[in-house]
Amino acid sequence: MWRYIVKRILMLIPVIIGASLLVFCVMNLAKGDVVSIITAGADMSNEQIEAVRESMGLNRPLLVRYFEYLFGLFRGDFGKSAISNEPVLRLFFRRFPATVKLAIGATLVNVCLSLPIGIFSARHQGSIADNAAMVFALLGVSMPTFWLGLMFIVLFCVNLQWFPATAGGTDLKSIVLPSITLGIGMMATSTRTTRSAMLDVLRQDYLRTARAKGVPEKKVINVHALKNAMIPILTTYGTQLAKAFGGGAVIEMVFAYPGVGKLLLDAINNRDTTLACGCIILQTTITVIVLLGVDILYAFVDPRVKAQYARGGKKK
Amino acid sequence: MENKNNVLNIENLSVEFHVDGEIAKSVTDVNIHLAEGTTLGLVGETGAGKTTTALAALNLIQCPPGVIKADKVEVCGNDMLTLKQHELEHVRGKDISMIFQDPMTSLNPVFDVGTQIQESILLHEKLSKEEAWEKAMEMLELVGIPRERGHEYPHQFSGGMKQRVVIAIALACTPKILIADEPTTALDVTIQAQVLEMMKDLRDKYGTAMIMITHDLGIVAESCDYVAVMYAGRIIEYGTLDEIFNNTRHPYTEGLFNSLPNINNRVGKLKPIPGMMPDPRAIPEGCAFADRCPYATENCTKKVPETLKVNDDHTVACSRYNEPDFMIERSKAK
Repeated sequence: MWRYIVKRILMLIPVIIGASLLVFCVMNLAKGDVVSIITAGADMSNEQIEAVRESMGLNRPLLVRYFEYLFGLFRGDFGKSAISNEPVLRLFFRRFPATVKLAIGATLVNVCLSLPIGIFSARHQGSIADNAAMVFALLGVSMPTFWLGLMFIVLFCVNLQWFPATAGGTDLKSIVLPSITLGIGMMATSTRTTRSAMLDVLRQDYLRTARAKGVPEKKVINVHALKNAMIPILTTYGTQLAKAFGGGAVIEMVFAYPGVGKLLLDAINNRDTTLACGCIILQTTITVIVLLGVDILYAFVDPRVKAQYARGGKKK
Repeated sequence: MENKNNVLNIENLSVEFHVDGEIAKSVTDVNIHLAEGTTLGLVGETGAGKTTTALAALNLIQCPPGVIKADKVEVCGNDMLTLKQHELEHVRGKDISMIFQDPMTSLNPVFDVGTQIQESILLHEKLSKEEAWEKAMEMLELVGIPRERGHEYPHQFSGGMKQRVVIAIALACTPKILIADEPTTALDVTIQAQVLEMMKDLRDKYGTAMIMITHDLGIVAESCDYVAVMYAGRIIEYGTLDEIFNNTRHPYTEGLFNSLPNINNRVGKLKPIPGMMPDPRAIPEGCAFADRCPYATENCTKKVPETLKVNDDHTVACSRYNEPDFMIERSKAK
């Protein structure tokens, strides 16, 4: 099992190198650089601007700058933001707690809705309620999050005035609406996964064995069946959670929520290569760790997967 | 037949499945009475309705698409068809339990086998978790699996051992009725004998009434007191083991015996029953066996044969039975 975990973490290295190279190249291709953003509107001659560029080391070739960055990275130095001159790590982790809160809130909304609805739908396959739930799920997939967010703001913040329209990210009240919006977007997929996973399991002979033993129906469904259906469901939740940890940029924009998604977006707009690169690397790392966590959870849910890990085999 | 000591009374049981506008008649007018400590062999080809009958006794048929009709399905005095869900759960596993046909799929893959046995005990007996686990381990040893393996999962067991775990679950609360649905079909011959021997021991020890569902007449001869032969959802011949084997009356039962290879006479060819069992969605009028029956006359296809009494221990459902000089080959030979 440990070998498996170490292997997965080592696999992060090529991913980080690739991702950072990509960010460097794309940022280089984009029109303008950080200096043109800083000096925009300032009354400076071209020589002066060029002098600023030189002082920041931006006039050197791309590859030189990249390898310098990469070298720093492997010593644990994420560099400083070109705009605020603050260390990238400090900027990122100042925003990260807000993102975690949002991700957890959204996942809670997601699980609390998708699990019961998915199970109910599977048990009453083909009924009116099942069809209604699936139409609801379809709506959830097709509705753009930003639109839903805006509608919520109009309804709950402007008309009803229950919640603040711009979220501080600190008090509970400001997290509610973004969480619900993000959660509903996630829920659509996970309800469908839950339903289809449960449908597969509900036909299994071992549920008949459980019923023949006299196991109460509730327990047959919520324990015997659900534990078997858990792997695809966990995978969906895990992927969604990992994505949410990366920061839902759109949601954060709509609610002016101070998370890492917005930090990254600002960094890109300001052509702040170091900050953008740092954000993406950190988000990638967090995503990989969350997904690894889900993989480890599999082993607790399904003993057959555990046996596979123990043999050092690949994941199912 | 009907008796106050009966632990199981099934009267006029019919089970249909309504699927896509078609009706499949899986079981029709079946009567089964079972007294304490006796074993009934339920014999017939695949699809004759044996398993469905058994599942109906536990009220485990999915409705819909299933529709159960019966005058009575009584397990130890409980009418299974009118009990509330929680009362049913109390009877299942305690008064009546079932060993399922396929051990490979009958165990839950994500729980260890000990827990699966323990669960049944916890549900029906007032024991602490530790005591229930201890009893589960005893059950495991009873079926010949060392208790150290109680924490292992189904995928770590062979087919034969899984079947024994299924048996241990079924027997955990010493039920009054045990239905064994082809308990040995999935097993090697050597394990088959072990499992049968074990079930016999358990019956002698606890006085459990058993229904042995099988298509293996050898197993019936070895372990049953009564035999019911099913064909296309109906019991077509019923009697004591001795009556069915030595005083066969129904052409279909004769056909079953003729299909058995005879080690002492390998010159003669096997005589399989020609044709196929009718589709349960289109059971022919009259006797369902008529088109495969060497003795069938035109009359046979007109009316469903009544169940006739041969003697106190034997009934047969054959339209020609009452004809004065009618006799099937097997009886003539005697």
